[in-house]
Amino acid sequence: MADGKAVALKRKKRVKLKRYFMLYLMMVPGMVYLIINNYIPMFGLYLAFKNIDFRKGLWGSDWIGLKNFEFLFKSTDAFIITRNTILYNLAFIVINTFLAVMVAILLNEIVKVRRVKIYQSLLLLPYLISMVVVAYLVLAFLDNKGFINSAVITGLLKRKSGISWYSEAGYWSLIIIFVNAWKNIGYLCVIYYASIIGISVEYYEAAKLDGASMIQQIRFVTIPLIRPTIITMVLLSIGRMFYSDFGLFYQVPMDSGALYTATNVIDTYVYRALIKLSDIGMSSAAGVYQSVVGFVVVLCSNLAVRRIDKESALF
Amino acid sequence: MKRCKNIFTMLLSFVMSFAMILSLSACGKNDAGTTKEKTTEDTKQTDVGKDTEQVADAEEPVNLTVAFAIFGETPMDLNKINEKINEYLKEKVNATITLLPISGSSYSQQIDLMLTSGEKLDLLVDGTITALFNYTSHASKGQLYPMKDLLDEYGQGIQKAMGKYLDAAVVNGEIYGVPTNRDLAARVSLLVRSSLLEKYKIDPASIKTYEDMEGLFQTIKEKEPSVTPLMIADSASGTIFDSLGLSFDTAGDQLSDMIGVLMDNQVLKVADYYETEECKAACKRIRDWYEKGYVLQDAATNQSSPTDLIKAGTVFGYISNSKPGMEAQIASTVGEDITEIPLTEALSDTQKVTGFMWAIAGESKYSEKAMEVLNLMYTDPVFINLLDHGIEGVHYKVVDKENNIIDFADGVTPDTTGYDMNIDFQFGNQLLSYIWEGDSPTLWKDMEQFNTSAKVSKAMGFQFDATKVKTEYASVNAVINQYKTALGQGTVDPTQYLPEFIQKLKAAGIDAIVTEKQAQLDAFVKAGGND
Amino acid sequence: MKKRAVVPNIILSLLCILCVAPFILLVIASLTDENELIVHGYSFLPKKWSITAYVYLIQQAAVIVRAYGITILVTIAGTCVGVMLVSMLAYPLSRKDLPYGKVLAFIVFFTMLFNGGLVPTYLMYVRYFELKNTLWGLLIPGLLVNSFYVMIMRAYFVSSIPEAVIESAYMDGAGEFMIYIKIVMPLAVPIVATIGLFVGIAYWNDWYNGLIYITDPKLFSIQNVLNRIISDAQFLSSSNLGSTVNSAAVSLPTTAVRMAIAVITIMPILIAYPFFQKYFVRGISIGAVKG
Repeated sequence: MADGKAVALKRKKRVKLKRYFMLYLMMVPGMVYLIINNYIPMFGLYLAFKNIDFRKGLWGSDWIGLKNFEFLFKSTDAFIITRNTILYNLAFIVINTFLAVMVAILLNEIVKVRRVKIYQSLLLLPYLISMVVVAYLVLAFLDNKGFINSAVITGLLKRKSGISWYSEAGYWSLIIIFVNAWKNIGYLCVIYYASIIGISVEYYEAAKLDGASMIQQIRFVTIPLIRPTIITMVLLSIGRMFYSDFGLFYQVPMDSGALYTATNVIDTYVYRALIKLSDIGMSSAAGVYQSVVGFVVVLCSNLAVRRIDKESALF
Repeated sequence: MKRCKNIFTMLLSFVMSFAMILSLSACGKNDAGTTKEKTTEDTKQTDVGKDTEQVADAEEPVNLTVAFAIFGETPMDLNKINEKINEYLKEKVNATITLLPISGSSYSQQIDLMLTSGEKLDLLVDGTITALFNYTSHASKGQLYPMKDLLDEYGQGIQKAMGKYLDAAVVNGEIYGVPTNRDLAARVSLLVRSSLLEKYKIDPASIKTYEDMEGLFQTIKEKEPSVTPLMIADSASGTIFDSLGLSFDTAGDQLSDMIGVLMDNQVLKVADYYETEECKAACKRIRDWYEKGYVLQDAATNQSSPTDLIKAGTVFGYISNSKPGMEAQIASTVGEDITEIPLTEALSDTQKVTGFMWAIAGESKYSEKAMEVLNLMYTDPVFINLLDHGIEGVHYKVVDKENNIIDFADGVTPDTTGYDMNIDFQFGNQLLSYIWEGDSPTLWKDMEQFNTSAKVSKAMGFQFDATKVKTEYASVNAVINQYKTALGQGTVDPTQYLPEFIQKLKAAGIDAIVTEKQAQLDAFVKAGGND
Repeated sequence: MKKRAVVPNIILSLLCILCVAPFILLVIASLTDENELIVHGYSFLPKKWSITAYVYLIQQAAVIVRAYGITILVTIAGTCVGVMLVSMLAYPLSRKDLPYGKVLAFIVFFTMLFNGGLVPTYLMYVRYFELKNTLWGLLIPGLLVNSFYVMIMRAYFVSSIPEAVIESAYMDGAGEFMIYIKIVMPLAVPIVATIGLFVGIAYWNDWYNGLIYITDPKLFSIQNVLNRIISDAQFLSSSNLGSTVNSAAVSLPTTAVRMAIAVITIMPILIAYPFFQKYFVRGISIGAVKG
């Protein structure tokens, strides 16, 4: 009896193996790429603990423990840059997700296909361009002789002189959040829109039969069905919590020193600190710091998501 | 609908096959790569062996990769010149070179990567201009080839041309770089539009002090309301901030990086400049100029160069480091006469000398050939002029044989020329190159005179190695980046920002750097100093 | 279904204006006389127009056309291969019944958090794969499979491909690969088009690979050419190079030229974009047919 059971189990296993073998095979090219591109270079994280001397070789250099990490915490700005990085990322996640879902839902309300096409194209426009170009667009508006100063403030409001935008740190937290939203909402919205149009029409028809209003349809059909996408996107952004878009914080404020209290984040700090040293150990250390802390944050938030909704958790 | 599906599957299968090819060829490439590397290494080894045994033999010429920085487009005719050079070099030293121009904005990063990965690189321009190079770091981490013995054996021409200046490149007792021969000193000058000086009958010789300068600015500001008297370019903001306090007042030495300086270049006492009264006074002065409207108000976002703005007629002048021939150089760019008003006497220090140097990559397999080629770059006018100006008759023509004056070849203009990099100062001995028509015919004589007559800092030859205090060095650099430009352009109030700046520098550990620098300087003096 | 959505139309129109206005200013700035820009500043209605900036760029036409060719080649190859690898990785991960699925998903996800940094990556690609100064250097490092897109696509599969459909196809005797091609992919057109667009844009806008892996100007992509002009200008105007470098003699591109450069980099995207749009629309019609 026991024998028969084992054979049956074995056969079942073989069937399973055969069935899933193809699925595993499909994953091979992508996985190989990730191993080469991402996993092999990870050994470089080891360099963060070394005092690099090429006479001894990259791997043979002296072990110096956490000394390479010190510069991250040495300056009194350590608190400011970490705070800026986290707060900006939180703001980006909340504001961008909210706006993008709203816009995607609005797009879904438009029946005329051609209009949707036009709206989508235009909304996505800012995402298509690099940050360097964005920096120039912002400059065209905020320069001392930019559009806002010359046309709006001195022109329309008849003030005597414009605002010197690039030396007033006060405005910049808002400007950065705005520019980020402006650039990325089109992109997020396309992802959410793709999810929404993937929803079967049957759900809506069923809801309509039950007499659901438009708002109710959104609340009880759309949002729950695109929730996995939203949660994935948010979790993914949380993973990048300690990183920041270098261009947004460096190029867009034109690297203006007067704005650093509002624009200095971990990435720009590391860049500025190491520009004259070119120390591989120290730049690796910064990478390790960002990765490890980001990893912990993601693990925690994934755990939280798992508690609430096991399906949507990333792993 | 069905058709669409077909197209889709077709597309998919196409993509799939492409990916297969891609992954296969990637693997293949990998194999080929490693074996190739092995074989080249083998041949290299045998090469080196042969090289030392039988130099004169008709060997296959060695190919050297030669990296240097360019500012602007890669010239169209680079390959043509490269070929011409190779013909010449094959005959002279049985070597060929591959010119590898790298854009200035990415030079530092690209060279760091190339030296780290050990890819093919033999000769490179390195130096102590911090925006471009990391010479001391490369040297102290062992990424460059030690040159002392090579110089004795193959580089006599270099030793003769550069003499005592070679000592300025010494790091930890070894030479890793050879300074190029060009302007090896600098003075701080005010460069202004001659037309306005004449219009208001101002004698440039009468301007000697701050008060004189302020008077000049005031005149311009009042009489020419559309012209800003002084532009503090972003690139020069450091220069002005530093030179007002350090060179103008006290004739100090910046010790390359301004982190720990000599307030008097004859007294070897390292001080934190930002804490000094001189610095405070300089900040206040710049702020005062800013408030009076003497300097450009949107300096923080300005991306035009001073010459652009002078050309546009919105700016009267700017302060800059200067050298012989500067007036003519700027005048030809802006299209009107420029007057130079020297504010300090010329000073020669480590930074000026070792700003641009030639080095041999640490992993170069042909260090001896590299030195031979380098030696030619300091002694052979044919080689130098090929690098500097291209091919005679194609890119330039000699108009005055006696004085070595050249002009663009017939039918060639500055806009149409296929070779015009304007980086003569990088190619070895600039003083052996031709002089452009329009520059002073005695330019190189003047330059030599300028170099030898300049005052020499007592710390000449001192190279600071920041490895021991790298934590502090990194933090301090981040702080300086934050404050220096704003203070140097007068956009912020120094009574509030300067104390904040000083306090943050202290927190970042500038004192430790100053102490370390003093210790290294003392050791340098003990070992013989610059004598 | 037929009722007109007035409010959404108004809101969306306003948002679109907000998105487009800066570009119009950009185009106008590129056509404004340089002195006008310096003296009077930016305006939607400049007093003096000028096409000097574009004349300057036409002089560089040979370089620009070649670089366009390289960009287009790399973008097409990268997008096709990239999307395929991403979807083949994402689909199995979306299957809840796949043994070790969560572990594999974690392995993919983990690459988003940790990276070895530039130097080790460079060492590997240049030393062992010899990608330096080859087109592979533009194509392979970093961009081909972005685990971010894998996760997005997986989320889409989870929410939009009914398990029942797959199970019944399997019961009918279809192999897993056939299910993927014949059933899953057609249902995934909207997300494939979306990810394809993003991968394509990433390739189009990429200048980093070129900066790191390419030093030969013959292999520069359009972004490298333009990025180099812009960053050289920034570099020269903001770095203290001392008096040795005659930075004054290097003609920095004027503001108008920089704006014109920006215009010509984004132009092809604007032209190609409507073609992608077709697939979005098809996504909608598939949904409708299904309903």
